[in-house]
Amino acid sequence: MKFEEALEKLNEIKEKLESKDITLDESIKLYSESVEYTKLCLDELKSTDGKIVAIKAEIDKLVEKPLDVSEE
Amino acid sequence: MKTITLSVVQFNTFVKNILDAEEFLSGLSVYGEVTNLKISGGHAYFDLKDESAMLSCVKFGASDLNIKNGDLVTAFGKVNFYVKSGRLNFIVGRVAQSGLGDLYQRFLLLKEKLEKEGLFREEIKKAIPRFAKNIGVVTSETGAVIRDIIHVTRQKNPYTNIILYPSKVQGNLAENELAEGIEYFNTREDIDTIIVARGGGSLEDLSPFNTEKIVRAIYKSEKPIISAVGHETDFTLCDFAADLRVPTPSVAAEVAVFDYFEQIKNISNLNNNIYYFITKNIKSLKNDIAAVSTSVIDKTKLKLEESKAELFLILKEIESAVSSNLKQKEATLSVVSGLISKMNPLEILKNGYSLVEKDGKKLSSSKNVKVGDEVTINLSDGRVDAKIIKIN
Repeated sequence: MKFEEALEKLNEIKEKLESKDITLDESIKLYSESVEYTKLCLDELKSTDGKIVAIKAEIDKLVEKPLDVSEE
Repeated sequence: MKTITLSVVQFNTFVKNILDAEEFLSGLSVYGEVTNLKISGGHAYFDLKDESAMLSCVKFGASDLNIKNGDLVTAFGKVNFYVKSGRLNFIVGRVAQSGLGDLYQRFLLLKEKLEKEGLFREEIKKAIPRFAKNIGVVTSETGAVIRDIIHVTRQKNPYTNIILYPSKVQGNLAENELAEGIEYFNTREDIDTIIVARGGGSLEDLSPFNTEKIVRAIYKSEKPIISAVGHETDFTLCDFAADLRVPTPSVAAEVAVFDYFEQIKNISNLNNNIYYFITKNIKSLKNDIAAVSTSVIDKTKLKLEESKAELFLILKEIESAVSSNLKQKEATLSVVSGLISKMNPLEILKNGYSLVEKDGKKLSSSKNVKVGDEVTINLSDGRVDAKIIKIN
């Protein structure tokens, strides 16, 4: 599941719990779901490693090479 | 005929003299498009061009000059041939705007054509992803543009990936490389958003971003494209075709990249809210249960009290019924005993009535006696003997 979806699910859970129109069983189920979705969100947030690369041609294909843009 | 051989200075001077002698060349107007404009030492150096030729111009004292590259102008001045350099230029006295530059005209025509084809429609513009992980950038590898994009990105999010497709951003080869960059990023599944960017420049400098080629590459792109080309006030065809136009490359990064720290806070807040509401719900349920059991106990107590009261009333009623019954009977009893006591012979005797006996037998009739008989009169407190003296 993508970050945006998991975040949306967390919001939905918060709203359902806020509405009070909900049984104890449902509340507990929602709470444990929220733990799952939170973990998903955090995993997604850290899933990229902040690389900065430029595309360079290497023989017959294009590859990524680290890019350094420090001031000359 | 013998050819004459001159020295360079002789030749140049000869040419200069011819040109200077030509009156026509000492004051005339030339019409063309301004290009390669440079201001140096307070003087303006530019070329006037048309489709086939170019003329070097200079205007001394450029403070009042109000022209830019691409402008179509009429320049009034005179020819000047420099002996020293053998170069010819046109010394401009004054310049007048003479309509839109040719380059600008072509820009307008192309814009109209592509607009008619529907390539700039709002409806086909894609939304820019909110949480991009991989951003493809098509711009020059050197210069401020890519540096600014990287800087702004890192401020907002340490983890967003930036992939640069290095491309020329001016000159004839630029339009091909720009289009290739856009196409390349479309072959990569991981790329979420594409930024096409270039810093400020003249209309000529920006011309690769005003080509049909780049517009069509953007139109074909299945990935969203943000365009950040030129100065804030420049609008290129690339801007019109893109899914989003922003005034500078920094803004492009602002829009494309999400704030990592804000999202961490957001998730934390959601969790706090969820925890708060679930404990609130549990507390409320506890209270409900307590309220229900209290209510049951209270109701039972109340019922008990009511029953006691009812019982008490019933007992009281019985009591009073019994007691009034009793009183009635007492009343009857006293009436009856009153009557009975009145019937007591002794009471009768007390009232003056007496029992008369003759020879030991009750005398109840006057027929049963004669004069001279002796009778006994029983009174209430004793007996007296009497003789009959008269019968009535």
